[in-house]
Amino acid sequence: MMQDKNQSAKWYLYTLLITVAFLLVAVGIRLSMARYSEESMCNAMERTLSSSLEKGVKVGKRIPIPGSGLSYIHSYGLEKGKDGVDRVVLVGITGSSGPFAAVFTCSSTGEVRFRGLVGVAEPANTRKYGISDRVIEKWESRIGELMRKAGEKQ
Amino acid sequence: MKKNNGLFLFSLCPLIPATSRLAYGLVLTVVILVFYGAGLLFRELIRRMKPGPAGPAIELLCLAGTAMLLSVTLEGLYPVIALALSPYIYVSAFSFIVLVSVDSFSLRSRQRPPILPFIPTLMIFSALREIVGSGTVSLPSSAGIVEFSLLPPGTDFQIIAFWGTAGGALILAGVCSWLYRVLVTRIGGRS
Repeated sequence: MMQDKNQSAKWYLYTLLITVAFLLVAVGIRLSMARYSEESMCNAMERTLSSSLEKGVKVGKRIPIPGSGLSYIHSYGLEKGKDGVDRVVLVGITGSSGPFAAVFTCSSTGEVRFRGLVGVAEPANTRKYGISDRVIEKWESRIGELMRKAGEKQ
Repeated sequence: MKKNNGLFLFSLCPLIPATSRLAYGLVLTVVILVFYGAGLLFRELIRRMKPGPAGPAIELLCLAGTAMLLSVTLEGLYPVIALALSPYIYVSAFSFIVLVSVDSFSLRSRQRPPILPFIPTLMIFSALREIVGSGTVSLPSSAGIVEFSLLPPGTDFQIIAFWGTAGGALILAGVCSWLYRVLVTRIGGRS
């Protein structure tokens, strides 16, 4: 009986060690690739924003949104804002032809606007990628709501 | 292989939304290959540790850990694709479990595991879906996906766009499955 208890305690410990080992490796990978990943993401967003907002637009530092969940919504500041736009939001959206990354801008007045898809050949041609106006409207209202709540929390 | 037909469809269905592009299909193929390699490695390691009844739980924990590491690595290498595909990395872990759970974990058996033919199937399916659905072929890149158009400029893609949708993909999967069965029956009849 005592031996059984020792045995299960040993396997509980091993399970805990395996979990910690995986978490440590994941943190290591994330830290070592964070800079490259952020640069790639910002460049891709700038390309989309340049075609819809203005040429030479510069995406700034990441701004966490309280209550936005784990990692599916990314928010960045805009170094050279136009039309009162001060924040860029990158989200993964799914249309009838699969998932894509999309970029939205938020202005200081709380207006959220879709600017295009990220990392595709025709960022503004949403129909080609199966993203309907209804999906875009849903995301605009969701991001607006999230920003409003985040503003209240701060 | 003939028995794998239904199994393939069952494993492919959760991945249908994500297999709209060859670029995504390639990423998911690599993910499933890594699951396969990691599955073999962890199974052997755990077998040597003789964990008794805790074995399957630890194997599943290792699979979940592998999915997490793959998701983090994808975020590092292809951040834009990762944003779109992140949930599907975990969905592909489910597909992997379905594929290896047949024959009570066929990773252990010496027969050819059904996961090996599933890998090219996934790639061909996503390529076919992209070609007939949007007339392009795409590859993953750090800035998103690189598309190569197969249609002449000015072609109205709306005519073919339905085949790129999830509904079109399910019909395509059904047609491919039927064609495969016909082929297998004919080849079996001749031999």
